Amino acid sequence: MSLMSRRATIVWVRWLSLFGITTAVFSRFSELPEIRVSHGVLAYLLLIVGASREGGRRLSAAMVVLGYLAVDWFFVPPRRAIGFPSEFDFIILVGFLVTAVVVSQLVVNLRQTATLATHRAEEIEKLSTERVLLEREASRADVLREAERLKDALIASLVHDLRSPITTMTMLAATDSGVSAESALQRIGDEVHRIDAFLSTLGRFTTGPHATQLLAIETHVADDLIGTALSSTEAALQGHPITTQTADTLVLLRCDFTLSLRILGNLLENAARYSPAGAPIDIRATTDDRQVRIVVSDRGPGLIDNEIDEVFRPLHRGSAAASEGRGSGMGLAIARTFAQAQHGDVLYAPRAGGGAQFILRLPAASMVAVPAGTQALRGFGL
Amino acid sequence: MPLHVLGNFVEPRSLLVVEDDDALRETLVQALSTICSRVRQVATLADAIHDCAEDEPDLVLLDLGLPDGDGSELLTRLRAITTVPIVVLSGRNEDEQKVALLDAGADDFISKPCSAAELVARVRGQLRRSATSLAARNAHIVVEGMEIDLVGQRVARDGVPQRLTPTEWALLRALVLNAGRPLTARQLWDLVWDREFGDYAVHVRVHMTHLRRKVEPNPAVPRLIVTEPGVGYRFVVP
Repeated sequence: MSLMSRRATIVWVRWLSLFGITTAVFSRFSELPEIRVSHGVLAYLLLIVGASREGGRRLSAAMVVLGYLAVDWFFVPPRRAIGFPSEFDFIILVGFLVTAVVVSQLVVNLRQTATLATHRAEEIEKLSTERVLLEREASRADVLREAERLKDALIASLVHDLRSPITTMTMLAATDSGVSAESALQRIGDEVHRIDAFLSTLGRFTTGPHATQLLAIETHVADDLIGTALSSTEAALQGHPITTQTADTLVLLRCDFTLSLRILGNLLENAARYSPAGAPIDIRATTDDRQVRIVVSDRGPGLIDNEIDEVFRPLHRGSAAASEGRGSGMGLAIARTFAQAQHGDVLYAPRAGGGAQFILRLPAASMVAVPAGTQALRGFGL
Repeated sequence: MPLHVLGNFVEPRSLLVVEDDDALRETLVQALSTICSRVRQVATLADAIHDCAEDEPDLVLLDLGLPDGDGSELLTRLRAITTVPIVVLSGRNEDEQKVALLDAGADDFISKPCSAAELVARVRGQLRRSATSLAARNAHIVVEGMEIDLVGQRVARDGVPQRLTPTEWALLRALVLNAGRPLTARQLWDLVWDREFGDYAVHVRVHMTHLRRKVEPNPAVPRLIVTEPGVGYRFVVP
C-alpha cells in the first residue's frame, strides 16, 4: 500500500467512504418495511461498478467482498448475522456475488484496455514526431549533399579552367616572350579578369558553414536582372545587336540575384561567343504564374542532338566551342547546378530558323500589395 | 573646405590609405598619387584612428580585412571620429558585409580586384561629392534625350513630359541627391517611405523598375540608375 500513488489513495478513500455512508444509512433504515432486499443489492452493485471503473482490480475485489458482507448482514435473513441463509435466500447471495464479480471484472478490463489504447496513441504520436524530425534531418542532409555536389563540380571545372590563364600569363610574363609589353599587359589583364570570375563563383561556397546560408533567395524583378546582366556583359556583347522585350506587367521571380546574374551573364557571353559577328541576340522573360523563363536566343550554329546532354556535363563544351578553348566564369554544368540550387534549371531548345535558345528557369513570385498611404515625401532641402 | 563648382576638381590636401597588405598598399598609394601629392598610409585601424584624429584627411580608403577589427564595427569606430568620405575596398563575395558597411555610413565601396583607373575615378567622385553642397547637386540633368529637373519637378523624354508618381519622385530625389553613392534597399526605404513594412526590398525593387521605365534613356539597359548586385542601387551622373 505504501507504493500506492496519491491519486490511487484518494480513489480508495472516496469509495470506502461512500461504502461507509451507504452502510450507515442501511444500518439505520434496513428495519423499515419499505426497504426491500433489491434496494440493498442494487445500491451495493452500483458502488462496485463505480469503484471498478475508477479504481483498479484490488479496490474492485475489496468492494465485492465488502458489498457481499453488507448484503448478507442487512438484507439476507437471519438479519444482523453473516452466513446461515435460510431456504432459497442463498440465491440472493450467490446471485449478488456472481453479478458483482462479473460486472467488476468487465469494468476493470474495459478500463485497462482504454488506458492501453491511450498509451499506444501517445507512443504513435511520439514516434511520428520523431519521424518528422528525422525527415527534416534528412532534407537538411540533402541540401548539404547538394552543396557538396556543387562544390565537386566547381572544383573540377576550376582546376581545368584555371590552367590555361595561368599558362598564358606565365608565357606573357617572360621578357623573351616576343609579345610587346603593351599587348602582354593587356592580355594579362584579360586573364586576371577570368581568374577573378572563377574566384567569385568559388567564393559563393566559402561564405557560410551551412548550405542554406549560401543562397540569398529574395523576390526580384526580371527587368532588373536582365538589365544588370546586359550592362555587366557589355564588352562581350560588343557588335551584337541586342533585342529585349518588356511586358507591361512586371515579371517577379524568386532567386539569388548575384548568382542568377552570373548564370545569365554566362548564357549571354556564350551567345555572343558562338554566333557570328553582327548576329543579333535576343533576351526576354516570360512567366506562367509558377515559373519564370528568361530566354537567351542567338543565331549561332546551335547544338547537334547528341550534344544537348553532353554540353551540360562538367568539363565539356560544344563542338563549336572545342576549337576555341576558352571558357567564361563557369561552364553550363555549373550554371545548371546553380539554377537548380535556386529551384530552377538551365535548359536548351533549338531556335526556329537556326540558332540556340538557352533558358534560365526560376520560380515565379507573386506581387505583394504596396502599403497604401506610405508615399510620404521626405524633404531634401530642394 | 571651400565650396567648389560642380565638375571642377581641386587637388585634395591629403588622402589616407588603410591597408594591411604591403604590396597592395604600395600600389594603391601609387595610383592615388596621380591625383594627390600627399597620400598617407597605415596598416591597422588603430593607426588609422590615431592618424585621422591628428590630421583629418580629405578621404579615407579603407580595406576590410584589417588585422585589428572587422567590418561594420571597424567602420563605426572610424565614423565616430570623422565625417570625411570613407571608401571601402572589399572582396567581391562580401555582399552582406557591403550592405552592412553602407548602412553603417560608408560612402562607397570598390570591389577587389579593380583597375587603377576605376579606383581613381571613384575616389575623385567621392571627393567632388563631398565638396559640393546638397542643393547644387545634379539638380538638372540632360542625357541622351532625357531631361531630369529636380527643382522644376520635370522629367521629359525627347521633350515629352513623363508622369511620375509621388513615390517615384521621392525615389528619384533620393538617388540623384546621393548620386555616385550606392544606396541599399534599406536606406532607400528609410529615405522615401516613412514607416516599417515587412518586405521593403521588394517594394523598392518594383518602384525602381517603374521609375527606370520613365527616366532611363534605354530602360532595357539602365545607365542612370545602376544596380549594384547584392547591394542596392547607384545613380550614375552622366
